[in-house]
Amino acid sequence: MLRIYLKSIGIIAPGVAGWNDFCNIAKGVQPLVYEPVAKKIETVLPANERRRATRVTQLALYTAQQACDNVVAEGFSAGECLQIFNSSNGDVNTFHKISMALVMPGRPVSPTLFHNSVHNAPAGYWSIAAKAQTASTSITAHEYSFAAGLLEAAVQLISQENNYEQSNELNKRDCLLVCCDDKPPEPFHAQGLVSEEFACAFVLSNNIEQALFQLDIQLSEQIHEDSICKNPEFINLQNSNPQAKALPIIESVALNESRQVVIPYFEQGLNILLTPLN
Amino acid sequence: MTITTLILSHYTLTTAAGYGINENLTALQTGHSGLKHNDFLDGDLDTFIGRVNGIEKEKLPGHLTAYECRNNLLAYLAFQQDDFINAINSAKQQYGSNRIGVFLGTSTSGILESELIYQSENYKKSGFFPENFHFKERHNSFSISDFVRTYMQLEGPALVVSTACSSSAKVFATAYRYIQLGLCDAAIVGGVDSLCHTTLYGFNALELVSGKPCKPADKDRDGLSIGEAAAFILLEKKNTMRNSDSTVFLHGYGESSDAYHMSSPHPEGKGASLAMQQALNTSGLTAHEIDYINLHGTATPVNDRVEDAAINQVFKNKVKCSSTKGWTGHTLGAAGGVEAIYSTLSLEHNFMPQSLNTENIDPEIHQKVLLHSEHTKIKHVASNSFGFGGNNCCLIFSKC
Repeated sequence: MLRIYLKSIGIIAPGVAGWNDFCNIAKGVQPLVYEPVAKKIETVLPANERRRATRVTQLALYTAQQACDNVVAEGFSAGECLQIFNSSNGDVNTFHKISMALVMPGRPVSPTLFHNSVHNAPAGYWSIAAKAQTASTSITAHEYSFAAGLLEAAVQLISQENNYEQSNELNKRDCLLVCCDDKPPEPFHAQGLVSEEFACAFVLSNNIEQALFQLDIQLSEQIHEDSICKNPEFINLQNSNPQAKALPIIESVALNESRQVVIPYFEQGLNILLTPLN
Repeated sequence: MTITTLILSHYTLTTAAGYGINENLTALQTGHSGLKHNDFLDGDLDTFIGRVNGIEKEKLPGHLTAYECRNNLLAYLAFQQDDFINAINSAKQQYGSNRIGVFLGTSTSGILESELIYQSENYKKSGFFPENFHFKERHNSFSISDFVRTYMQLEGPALVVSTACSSSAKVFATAYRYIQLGLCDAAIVGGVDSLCHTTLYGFNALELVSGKPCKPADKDRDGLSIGEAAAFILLEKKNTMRNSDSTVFLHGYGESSDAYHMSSPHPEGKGASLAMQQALNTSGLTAHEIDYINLHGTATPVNDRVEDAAINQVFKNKVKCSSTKGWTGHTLGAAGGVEAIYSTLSLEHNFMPQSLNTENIDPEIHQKVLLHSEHTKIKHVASNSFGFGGNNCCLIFSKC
C-alpha cells in the first residue's frame, strides 16, 4: 500500500472553469451547464513561450498553476515539486499540422511546431514557467493514463524517502501531477479518443502537514467496476476523456467525504481509499 | 528500506550498426559505422541516417497485425535476437506474468504510418483515414509498451515515458522505483524509435541535421545524423538472478530539468550537471571513480559544448569519454536504452569505444574525448541522455 497526501486540485472542463466552480457543482450549489472550455486560456508563461504554446500545453499549465495557487501550506514552492505530466494521446493537433506541412513541396515543418510535437512539450513549458529544475517525466498508458499517472506520483513520492534517493540533492516532498488531453483534429474523431477537453492537476505530498486528504493506493488483482461519480451530472464528462477518470476522486475531495474509488489499470484495478483530514 | 541492486540480466538491441549484441559489439570494436546516405523512403533530404536494414521485410504474427508499424516491427526484430524471448519467458515462469513491469521510452512511436496516410491520394481526396487505421496500436506513444505486453503476454505495471531524447534512460529510474516498492519483481526497460518524416524534417528545420556522418566533439561538427533503434533490457534483483552471465548493475540515476528553453540546452549545462551530480549521489560514488562517460554527444555545435561544460562542473578531474552516435546516429527516444547497453558492453569487455568520425577535437571541449578505442579494466560507467524541453537523465552502471 502506498500512502500519499493531497494538498490541492486544479481542474478545467466544459462547464467547469476551476476548482471553486467544481466544488459548487458537486455540492449542488450550482448546476453543471455545458459550455465548451474558453478559447483563450491565461497561463503563467513568459511572453515568448506563451505565443508558442499549443492548446494541450495551455490546458495543462492552467490547471497546474491553479493547483499550485490552491496549496495553503506555508513554504510551498511550485518550482521545487517533482513534475509528472500525463497525456493519453499527446498533441495530436500538432501532429496533424506537421503532417499537413509534410505533404507540401519541400516539406516545410516549422521549428516551433516540431518542438511542440514532443510528448513532454507541456512539461517543458511548465518547467520554464515555474523555474523548476526538478525531475520531470511525461508519460502515457493510453486509456489507463490517469491511473498510471497517479501510481507514478505515489511511487516517486515514496521513493524520495527510501535510502537510495535520500542522497538526492533535490529530494522533494511534493509532486505536481498534471493530467491533460485535448480534442484531436477531425480525421481522428472516428478513433473515439477524446470527445471533450479535460485537464486536472494535483499537488501531492509524502508529508501530511496541511494536506486535505490521505490517499491509500494499491493495485488489486480483482477486476472491479470503474467507480462512477455520485452526481449524475458528471457522468457524461467522466466518459468523455481518459483523464476524466479522475472525477470520482475530485468529487470526493470537493464533498470532503471518504470514499473507496477504483480506477481500471490494465488487467488490474487501482484502488484508492480517500480519507479527509479535517 | 534496504538498497535494491538491479542487474541488467539480459539485453538485446538492434541498431544501424547491427542486429543483436554480437553485431553491435563487433561494429564497436572494429569502428564500422551504421550510418549511410539518406535512403529512407524517397530520401530527398541530403543527410546521413542510421537506418536499420530489413525492417521493411518483417511481418508481425497474424494476431498482432493491428500493431504493425515500423516502430513495432523494429521492436519485433530486436526481440528475435540474443535469445531474449527465452529470457522473458523464463522470468515469467519465475515471477508470474503480472509481476513483470514494462517501462519503455519512445518519442515518435508509430507515427510514420499516420504521416504516410496524409501523403496518400485517398486521404487527399476524402480527408478520412482508412478503416484499418489503428491509432491506439500504432500511432499512440503507449503503443510500444502495449505491443510488448501483448506479444509477451505480460500483465504487470506499465507505462511509456516520452520525454524526447531522454525517454529510454529515464525508464531505468522508473523500473528501479517500481521494483524497490514491490509493485513488480522484474521489468523490461529500454526504448524504440524509428525513422519518420517528422523528426528528419523537424530537426532539419532547426538546422541541426548534418549533411555528413555526424562528428561528435569535432571542431568541424555541424549537426546530427538521425537513426533508429530498439533496445531492451531485463532488469532483475541481484539475489534472484537466474542463469545470466551479466555482472553489470544499475548503480545510480539522476533526473533533472533545465527550465530554460524548449529546444536549446541551458548554455552552462546547469540542468545536465544536476542530473550527473544526482546520479553520483545515488550511487555513492565520487566523480573520480567514474572510468568512462558515454556522452549524449549528438554532434550539434551547441549540444556537445554544453554537455562538456556540464561535465566540467561535476567532474573536476578529466574523464575519458566518447559518443557512440557515430555508429548508430541519434536514435532519439531509443538512445538512452542503446547507450545503456553499449555502456554495459564497455564494462563487460573492458573496452572504451572511440568517438567514431571525430578527427580534430574542438579546442573548446575540455574532457578527454577518445580518438582511439582503449582496452583497459573499467568498473564504473556513466551514460548521459538529454532531451527537448530541457529534460535530462544520467545513469551509472557498474560491475559487481
